[in-house]
Amino acid sequence: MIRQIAKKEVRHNLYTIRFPALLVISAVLFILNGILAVTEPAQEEFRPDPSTIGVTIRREPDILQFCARGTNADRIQMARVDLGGAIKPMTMDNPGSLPSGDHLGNYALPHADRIDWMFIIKMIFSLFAIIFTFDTISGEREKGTLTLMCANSISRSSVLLGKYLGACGTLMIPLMLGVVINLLIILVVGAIAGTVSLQLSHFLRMGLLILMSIVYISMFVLLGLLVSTAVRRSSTSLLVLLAFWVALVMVLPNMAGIIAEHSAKTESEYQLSKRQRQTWDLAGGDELNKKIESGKITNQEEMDRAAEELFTNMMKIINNAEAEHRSALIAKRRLARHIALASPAAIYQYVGEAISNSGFERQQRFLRSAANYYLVYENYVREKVGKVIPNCSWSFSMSRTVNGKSLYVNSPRPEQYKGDMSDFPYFSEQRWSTMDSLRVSLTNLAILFLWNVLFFVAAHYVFVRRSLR
Amino acid sequence: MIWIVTARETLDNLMSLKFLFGTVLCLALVVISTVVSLRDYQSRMDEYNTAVADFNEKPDSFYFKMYRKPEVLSIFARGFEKRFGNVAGLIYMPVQASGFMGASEGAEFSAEFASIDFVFVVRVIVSLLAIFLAYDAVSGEYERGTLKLMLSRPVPRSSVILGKLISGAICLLIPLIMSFIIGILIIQLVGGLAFTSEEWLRISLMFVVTVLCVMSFYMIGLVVSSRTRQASTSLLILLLIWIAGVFLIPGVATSAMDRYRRMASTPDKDVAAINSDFYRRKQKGPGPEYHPNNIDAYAKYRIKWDELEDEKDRSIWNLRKRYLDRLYSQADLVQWICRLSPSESCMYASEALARTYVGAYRNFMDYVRSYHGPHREMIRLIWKDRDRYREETKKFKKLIEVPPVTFSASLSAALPDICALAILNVLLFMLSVLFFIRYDVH
Repeated sequence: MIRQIAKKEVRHNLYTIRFPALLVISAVLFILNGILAVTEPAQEEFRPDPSTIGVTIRREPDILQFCARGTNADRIQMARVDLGGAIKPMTMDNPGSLPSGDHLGNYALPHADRIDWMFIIKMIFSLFAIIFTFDTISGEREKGTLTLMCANSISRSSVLLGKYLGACGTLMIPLMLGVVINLLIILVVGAIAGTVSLQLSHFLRMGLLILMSIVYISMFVLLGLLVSTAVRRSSTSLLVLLAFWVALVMVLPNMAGIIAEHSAKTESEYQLSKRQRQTWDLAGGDELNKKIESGKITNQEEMDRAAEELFTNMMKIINNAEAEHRSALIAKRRLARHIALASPAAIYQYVGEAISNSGFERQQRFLRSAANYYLVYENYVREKVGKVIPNCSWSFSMSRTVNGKSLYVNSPRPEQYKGDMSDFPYFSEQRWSTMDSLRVSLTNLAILFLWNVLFFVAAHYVFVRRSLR
Repeated sequence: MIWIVTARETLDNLMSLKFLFGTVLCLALVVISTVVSLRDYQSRMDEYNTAVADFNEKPDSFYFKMYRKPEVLSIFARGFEKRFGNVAGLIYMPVQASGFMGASEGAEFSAEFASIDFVFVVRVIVSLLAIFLAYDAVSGEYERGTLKLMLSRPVPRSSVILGKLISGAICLLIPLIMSFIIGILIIQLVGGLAFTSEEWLRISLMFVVTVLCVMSFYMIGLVVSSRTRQASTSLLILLLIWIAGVFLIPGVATSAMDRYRRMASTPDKDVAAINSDFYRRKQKGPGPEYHPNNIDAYAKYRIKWDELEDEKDRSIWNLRKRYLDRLYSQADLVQWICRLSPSESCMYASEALARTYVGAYRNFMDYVRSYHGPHREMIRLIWKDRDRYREETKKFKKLIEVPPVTFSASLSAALPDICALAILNVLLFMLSVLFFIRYDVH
């Protein structure tokens, strides 16, 4: 019986204008997405010149970025690992220092949602899930067919379940069609042009993503059913549902940003550099003077050694301050993302990013990889050059009078090793397997399931107890 | 007669659940966003003042810095205000604005979380409300049968549609005016800030722009409503238009333009080549080390290489400038496409009027850059003429304030968008009247 209702529901939906509308929109967007994915120019082989001063690293290309891109800023491909341990992502929103990767786009463009699977499903399909379900129960009640249907020997639960399956089934048609067209374009054109090459694990990830999408869409279908049963008139039901949609998809995630910004104040870059400057000015002169006064420095050689030690210590303070600042920013962004978990749209976005290995957390993984890599790199430099002197734009030069002689010191610079560097340790990112994706997104998956269960139970409760007239 | 229609329509709308819903949501968001943005602005302003005080206390003519003042109207439309650095140093070529003053969350943060400001509320919430008010204005009356009744009386059809338009305008103006008043009150009473007359002018123009945006959504609603028989169909079509205007057009435009007019590549490789070539040449003929004993020889060496370095930096800047121009022309193209959508036009125009558009940043950078040559000249004098150097240094011992974007510049940036909105409004007005007059009531 459930199947019959579901079938009827699907057939009914197919003949309304909303079905072709969704079909066209989804097809157009998925085709566009495919074209954008295959025209993305392939990344050139990247091999930094071996150096003992600092090294530029690049992260692995995001093959699945057409599924979930993450924000532009999270797609920063390169970072500079300087001797001394400072790891600086080469950002795009700073026009002064444009990085040399051309995958970062244009900083003069406003932040608009780019067309990826996430966008299509998060925005368009969730909206259509509402449009398909707002009148399933309330419409039948208005037409008077609800009493007729329930006069038959079917339980109300199966009516609800049938309607649910019907709506989900209808939505799956454009989704699957879109995904298939999208993948066809990517596979065929991508194979010919050689721009995108997908492996088995990518298909596994995409399968997971589609599964997730079904859970996400089903949540909105259930929300639609709930409101449709609770509200008598279809037009009111649509109004309430759209209000919910705007709140869940548009307002809540962005509100999280505002709340986090309000509650977690971070030190600004200006304050940071001021603090660094003070450390620099204070520590520099004082330490050296103390050493001279205590008679530890008598000749140029000792002076140089003292300067080297001083510089290394100062750089440690400066780099630590910067790392602290950056981790405060990250903590703030994490906070915003945690608050945003109130919205299922954000949950879905995060799961999508975890599965396709992109977005904010991927960027953090890249930087963590870089930090681990630095340890290897430092060891290598120590082995080759013998000592590690931080490389940075800060420098000093001063003269002091010791024993009547004027000694002159410059801040030391790291040394470029001139010999054979064929054993240079190149950077490689830590692997991120499909299982890792799944493990990380398990909690979010559970929350999304809970939303589903919650809406279903509520819809069921209301539908069973409500009068049919 | 037209007033009776207007009064009835207005009353009908004002009493409706959707109006209450939309207005409450709109006002709640405006209050939250204004309070948050106000605090944010104040903290940025504090830091700006600290930076200026720091400079005045210890003016550094060598590492000379210029500061971009926070924009008070960013509370209404945040735009690009917080995306770019606001401290520009003059020492390096090209001029960089990398430092951030104020409670800057960093560019990454604002890339993920859109700001909820006035423009967001108008674009997303009020435009949706406009659609809700308009979708059943004609088709709904047709369905209920009241359209026939109304038109059987001696009322010209034009008065009916005009009445509907006016009542729509009234109902949409209420949340808009209330939002602006609440926003301004919060800024003035809680924040204790006062606007200049120019800022009042800007705010009132922003208000006009938002009204145009919302009215165009309302009239699109009327047009669609008078072309359809069923209110539900009309609502569905309108929702699609809304989605297209708010998300699809900007999303597709940015995604497609990013590829179509793709940046060949950043000039960094060429820049690196020029730089390494220069330093290789410099290392080949090493000059005397700096030492108090041989200043003359060292100065001669420095003057020669400083000139060569200037030349090198000029060619680097030319490369970068060409690249930056391409970035801006791409952004312009996206903006032109986005003018298809009233909500995007509204965003661009409001940001231009609020001085938070990308042009304001450009203006700042261009101004700073105009001091780059003189500043370098001054630094170079150290080795040429000590007395003139001391004289010139004084120019850079005091803070140089960057003049904000002028009203005429803002207006000329906003004008294409305002025109697009105005034309759209006129067009939609004519269409809605035309379609209603031709509407078959049977």
